[in-house]
Amino acid sequence: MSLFAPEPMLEVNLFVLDPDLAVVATVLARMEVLQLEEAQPEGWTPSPEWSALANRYARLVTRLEEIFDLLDYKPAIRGAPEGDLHPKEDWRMIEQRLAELEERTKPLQQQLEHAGKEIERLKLSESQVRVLLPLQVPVESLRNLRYQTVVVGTIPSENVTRVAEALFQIPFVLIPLQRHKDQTLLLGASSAENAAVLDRALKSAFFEPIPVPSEALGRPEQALDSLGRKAREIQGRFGALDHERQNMTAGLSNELNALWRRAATNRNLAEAIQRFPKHGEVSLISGWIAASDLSRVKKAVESAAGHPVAMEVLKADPKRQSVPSLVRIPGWLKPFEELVTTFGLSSYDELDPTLIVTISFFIMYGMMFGDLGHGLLLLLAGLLLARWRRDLGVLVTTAGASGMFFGFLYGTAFGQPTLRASWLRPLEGMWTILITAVAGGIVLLNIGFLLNFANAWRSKDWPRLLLEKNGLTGIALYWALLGGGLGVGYGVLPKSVLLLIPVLCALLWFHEPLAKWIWRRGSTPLGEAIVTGFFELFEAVTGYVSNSLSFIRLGAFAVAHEGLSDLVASYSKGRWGWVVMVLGTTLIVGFEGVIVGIQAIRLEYYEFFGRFFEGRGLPFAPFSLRTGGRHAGMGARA
Amino acid sequence: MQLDEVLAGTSAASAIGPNGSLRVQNLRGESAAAGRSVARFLPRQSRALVVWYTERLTVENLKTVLRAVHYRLDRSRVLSSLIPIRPAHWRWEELLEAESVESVIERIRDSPFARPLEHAMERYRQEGRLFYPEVALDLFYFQQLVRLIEAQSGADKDDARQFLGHWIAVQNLLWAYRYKVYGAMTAEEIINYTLHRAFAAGLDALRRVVLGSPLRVEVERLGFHLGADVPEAQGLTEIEFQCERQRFERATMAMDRPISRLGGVLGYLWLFEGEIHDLTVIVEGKTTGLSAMEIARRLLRAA
Repeated sequence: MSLFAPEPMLEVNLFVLDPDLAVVATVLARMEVLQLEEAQPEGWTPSPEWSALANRYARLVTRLEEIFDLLDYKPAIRGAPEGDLHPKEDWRMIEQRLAELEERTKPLQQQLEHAGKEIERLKLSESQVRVLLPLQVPVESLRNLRYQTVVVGTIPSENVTRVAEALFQIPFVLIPLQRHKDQTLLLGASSAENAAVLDRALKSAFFEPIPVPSEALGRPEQALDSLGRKAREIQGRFGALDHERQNMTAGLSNELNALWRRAATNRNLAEAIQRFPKHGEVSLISGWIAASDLSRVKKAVESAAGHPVAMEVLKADPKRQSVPSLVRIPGWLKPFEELVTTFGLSSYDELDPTLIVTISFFIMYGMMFGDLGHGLLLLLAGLLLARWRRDLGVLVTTAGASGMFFGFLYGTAFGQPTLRASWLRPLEGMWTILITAVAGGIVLLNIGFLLNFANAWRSKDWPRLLLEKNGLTGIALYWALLGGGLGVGYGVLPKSVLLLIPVLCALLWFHEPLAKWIWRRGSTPLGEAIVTGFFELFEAVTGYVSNSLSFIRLGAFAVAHEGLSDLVASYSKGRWGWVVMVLGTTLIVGFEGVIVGIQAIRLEYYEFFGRFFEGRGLPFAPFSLRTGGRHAGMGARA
Repeated sequence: MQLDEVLAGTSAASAIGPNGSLRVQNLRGESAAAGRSVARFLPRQSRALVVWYTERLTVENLKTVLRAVHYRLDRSRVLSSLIPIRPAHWRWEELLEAESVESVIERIRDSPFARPLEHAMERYRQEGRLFYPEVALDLFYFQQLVRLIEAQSGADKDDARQFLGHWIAVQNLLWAYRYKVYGAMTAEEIINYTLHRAFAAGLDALRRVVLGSPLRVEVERLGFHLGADVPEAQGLTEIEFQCERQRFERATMAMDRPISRLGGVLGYLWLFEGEIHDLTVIVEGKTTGLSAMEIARRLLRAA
């Protein structure tokens, strides 16, 4: 396990015979060590047989999920199916059992659907009858009108105006009664002689008539009463059906889960295999694998196939290929990896800065938020948070612990000098803490320079290593400006040292033409390279200064934190002092705690990462049966 | 000379099948993908319009699937006639396995096309005619297209109306006459199965059509000419072709516009579609033994 570098990767091509394909693919998927790559050698085509199997399993999964929906139950996604997978045969057993289960659940489904429709129908009937309330005539008399035609039904809401436009040749009345989702309950009326026109217009606008319900008899109030009774009766039936549904769920859930897992896993497997190109009896599985996993995988694949399997292994070439990046970081560092991955993932030839970022982040955080009491509150909040969001909780807890440690160095708790300061009190040693902050920043920036040398060395990028602003020329210029300036100022170094500065500036200015001349790299025309080189030099020199001075905020925030805490403490006297203390402390811990975190992150991303880290790595997404054949998202760091 | 030799080195080479046949659907899929790619240069609103315009192929595929399921057609043959769309909304093979039209709709429940199809289902169940779901799909697609055109602003609005607005108007008018001539539909049915907002051929034009206005008079309002003695059925085909040719000419003229403007992108897309049309005409003409003159008459690009 390398703490700082992504795992060396190999490109593998496995040539697998048809009979071994399923078992080999299953082994690879279960091991989760191979990132599949789409390969399409000429004359090789994907297998339609596996495509049909993938569809078959996808359909089975859908049917199973329909039963889950009916039972109002969520499948247990986690867990692998019991026993081995046999994608070419498993579907028979699943289909047979599923048919039996569908047969068993069908009556319940039909009854639920019927009851649902009845309720829906009664609701619509109620709305329909309610419109008739002012009439005070028996509802049934509307069924036998001689000179008028009246229809009530539902229609897609956007079609209401369309019907009105379509009826431009006859007199008519359209009354929208009620809108439900995207449907409108509509009453339409015309003279009896135009009934056919009204009917055609409504039908062609996808109108569905609702006949006046037979149970709606008498005057509208009486009809509404009888409809309400009927609705309550059906609601009671719903309760009984729900009870039956719960019993059925309890009895079937284990089997349904097992069937669903087997079908879903087989679907994922078939979906992956259908993409493997095939030539005759041989299929090609291509992908990326960590070099350290190779022998283990080879052994497992051959053991599964029962004979040697042809495997072509090629070394990764990050200059020519997009090689995925797999960084294996130890478990204890995992909660902090988001400090880096939020910015980006280290690319294949880049060192991973998680460890250094973790250490420096918490030093910077603690320095700005140093207070025993506030740190303790943050630590407790982190412990509480960890119950729901483990990683975030650990992050906050560690930030709190760091605050406590610096609180001990500063000798303050809730802004009060309760202990003897082991180092200094920021308000008293303002200059010391500001200078220490900048010195710490210089150390971090130089670590960044060194990491850039290592990255350039790994990718054999000599111009970057020797001539660019974060390479040897860059660090030399940085120290010539900083060390030379200070050394000459204090009389430690001779003034001639300063002559290095123009020489290094010239190197940096003309780094592109020089790289072109020495290594035959780059295609920028000379004139353009000189102009851009000048501006790059200007930006580099100002950057060295501003990046270093940027760390002064560590000290400034430490001073501000103590000042603010002191202010809260000084107003926390008297009868209502505790209120000021609670509000002030909440503000400091909640608000300042977040601001300080943002400042520390900012220093990491802008000042530190700017020296060496691009974070353009491609995540290593191993072939797995868990999520549709491939992991999605940042499954890259094992 | 074989077709693959003629097309070698062109963008159509990838659409030549293993037996040397031209897979037009692949080319159409590519045209939609190209449209979506170039649309990335456009502002958000006009990009949405171009993306929705290319959804026309999804509508076509959906209709093919509905027909295959309704008539229980051979799945492998239907699969080859589907347009490969990237990215695909659904796995078309899975849709084709549906046992009924209702089941197809169930499987596309999350898409915007499910709702209009559902509205037409009761009528489909009663009469067993696919016409209803198909017309519901068309109306939904074009109504959305009209909404997006109307939502454009500035020069893109002019481009959208000039290119798509005119085309929609012609389509709407042709629908109305087809329903009248071939379907013998009544006035209220024709008005309900067409677009009420269709730029130069909206509700007023539809009312004139159902009240008996001749095709020749209506198409003249849209800038086309039809002989006085041409029967309406024949006239519909002729206008359809004139419209396609006009589209191609507009697209050719628009090619000098920047690709960051809607007119440029639509011009590019239409030119692509026009070339696919011409390529298909040439290949089919050759296959059926048409003379060069007869083929040339059917081409959009002027000979």
